[in-house]
Amino acid sequence: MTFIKLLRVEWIKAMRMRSTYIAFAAAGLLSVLVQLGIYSGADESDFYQFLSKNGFNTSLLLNGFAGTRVALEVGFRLLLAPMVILTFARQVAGEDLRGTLRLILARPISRTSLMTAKFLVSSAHCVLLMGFFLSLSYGVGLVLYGPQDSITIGRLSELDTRSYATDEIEAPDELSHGEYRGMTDEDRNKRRGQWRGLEQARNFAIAKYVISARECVARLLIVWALTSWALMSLGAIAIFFSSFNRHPIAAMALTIGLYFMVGIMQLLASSDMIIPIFRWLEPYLITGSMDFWGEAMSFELDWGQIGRDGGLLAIYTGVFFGAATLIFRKRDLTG
Amino acid sequence: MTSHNPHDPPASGEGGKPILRVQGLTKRYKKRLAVDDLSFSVNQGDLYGFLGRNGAGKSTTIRMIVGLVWPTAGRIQVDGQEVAAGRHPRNWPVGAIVESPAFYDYLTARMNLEMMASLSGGASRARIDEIVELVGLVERQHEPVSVYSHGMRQRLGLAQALLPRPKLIILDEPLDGLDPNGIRQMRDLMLDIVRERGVTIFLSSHLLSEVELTCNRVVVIHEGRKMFEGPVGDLTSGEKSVRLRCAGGARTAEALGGLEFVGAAEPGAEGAWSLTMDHDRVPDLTRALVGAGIAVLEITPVKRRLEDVFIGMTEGTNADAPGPAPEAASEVSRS
Repeated sequence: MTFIKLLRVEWIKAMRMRSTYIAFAAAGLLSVLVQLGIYSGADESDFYQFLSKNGFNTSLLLNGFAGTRVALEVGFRLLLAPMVILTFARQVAGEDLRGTLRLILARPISRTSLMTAKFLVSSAHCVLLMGFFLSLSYGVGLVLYGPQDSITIGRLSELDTRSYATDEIEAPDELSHGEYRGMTDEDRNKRRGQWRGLEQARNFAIAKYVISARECVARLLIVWALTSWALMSLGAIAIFFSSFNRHPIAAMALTIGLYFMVGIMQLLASSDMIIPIFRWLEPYLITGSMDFWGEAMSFELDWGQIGRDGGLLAIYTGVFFGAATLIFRKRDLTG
Repeated sequence: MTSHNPHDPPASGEGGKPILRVQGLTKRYKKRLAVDDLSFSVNQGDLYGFLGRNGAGKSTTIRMIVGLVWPTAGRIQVDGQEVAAGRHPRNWPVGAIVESPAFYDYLTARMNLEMMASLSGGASRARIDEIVELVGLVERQHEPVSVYSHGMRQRLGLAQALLPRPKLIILDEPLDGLDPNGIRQMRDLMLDIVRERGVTIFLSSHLLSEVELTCNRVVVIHEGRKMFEGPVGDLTSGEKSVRLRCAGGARTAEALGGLEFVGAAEPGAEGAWSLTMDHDRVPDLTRALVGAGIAVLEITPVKRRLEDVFIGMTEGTNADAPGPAPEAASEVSRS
């Protein structure tokens, strides 16, 4: 009964705080901007022109589902994750700094209950944030394009960088080294664009699997669950740093610093510059598992991979939240 | 109906049942000993002063009592129940302001009180109305705390402490930063709470004159150790002095030398003398001087102020100050 009251109090505090809505405003703005940007400019790109000229059904590429995927690719790591870190990191350290922690803990409230309530309420905020982001993005897509079937390409990063079937499609003669050097800048840029379009079209041609408009909704629901789960794991790290820091900025900086450092390790492990230690660590890095929502945007859902990544995230959550609770219980509140 | 002066300290609660018992309380932060084997006892009905210089260990002691800091050693009993950091008894009979009262500034005072009430076992709407009226915040209860003055925050702090109908209220520097009017309001409020509601108050304050005016018993600590515990009157009594001004010249010295009840007589400028003697003997002094034909211009009994005793005690320069630990410890064991 007391725990329910504590949850209610934490919920009221979070929902009445103006800064809670900054994350929603930023996420909403990004999702709308990306959808409008794609809608207004994508058909002028070389890629689109190339596909259109070669008879591809471009509506498979330009639709709400694909736009949401692009918005997620852009915003998940760089906007949503930091926003969620801010929410979790201020939970204990923010209250400690404000002095309200001693106001609460001078009452018959167990520290474990308080920590659990804070984690659950922050997690609910995280779930709502992702739901808002995805529904707004897809909603704007539906308004712009209507319900459409969509092609599944996996990750946008793969679309940009991975080169498929280079043996099958030869580079145009015009782009051979000597002639390319002799061209004007304008022609060179045009050719470059054509080549990029051709390269992307190869990917597109390979990732040709299409899911129906109805399945797009189901896939987005799965993406909602997976992104929320991933962000909650990151939140557990943030609340861990919050449990022993007296200033929320310190907790935020430590979490964001760790998050970017692990992200760089991930990048080094998966790039051409193979560094054995990072390669060995790669399967255990949180940033890699956090991207598991991408599986829900592939044609075939790899539930095994989702389970492995989800399990690793659960371990991260349990370890960091458990450590945070232990530290918080033993800590002297001297501030 | 009581016939007391509303500004007088409450009658001593010495005969009352102990509501707070601290025994051998010790707190060590790495190499620094913040509180050293501290023992005292607060009885029901006391308005009990807790005195010490900055860094004496007052706040650490209060934090240990309310469960914010873990003691290194010792026992704390509140209303007969053992207290441990982070583990309060369910029917925790304590309300507290620990340092400056902190609130959720973006919420109204009323909402803050409602939240705190729900975390303290709940309080009815009527109870909140009653407390808001008691502390004089009826008109402004629906304004956000961010617009409150320091004095209003202090009163709101007292309100949240009173909500769960506590038997003991712990106030850490509640008069700090208040203007004279605010100090008087707060003082009257505290006296009213003790007298009319039967609540015991444990008051830590730097304002020694206020402690002298409001408290019936005090404990003085210095560098974490107890220097004195007992009624305020015992602290300010002891050797008393009388200021004398007369026109007797050398005859005055002669007359004073013949009075066995005058301990010491130090001459000052313009016929002034400082005499060490019991105030009850002032009529005898007057008679003796007049009998000796000395024109008495002024006789003023001078009472020792708490401030003088406190400064002497904590600087170790006042040989008259009541002795430290041994006597005080015996008080605790008696109670």
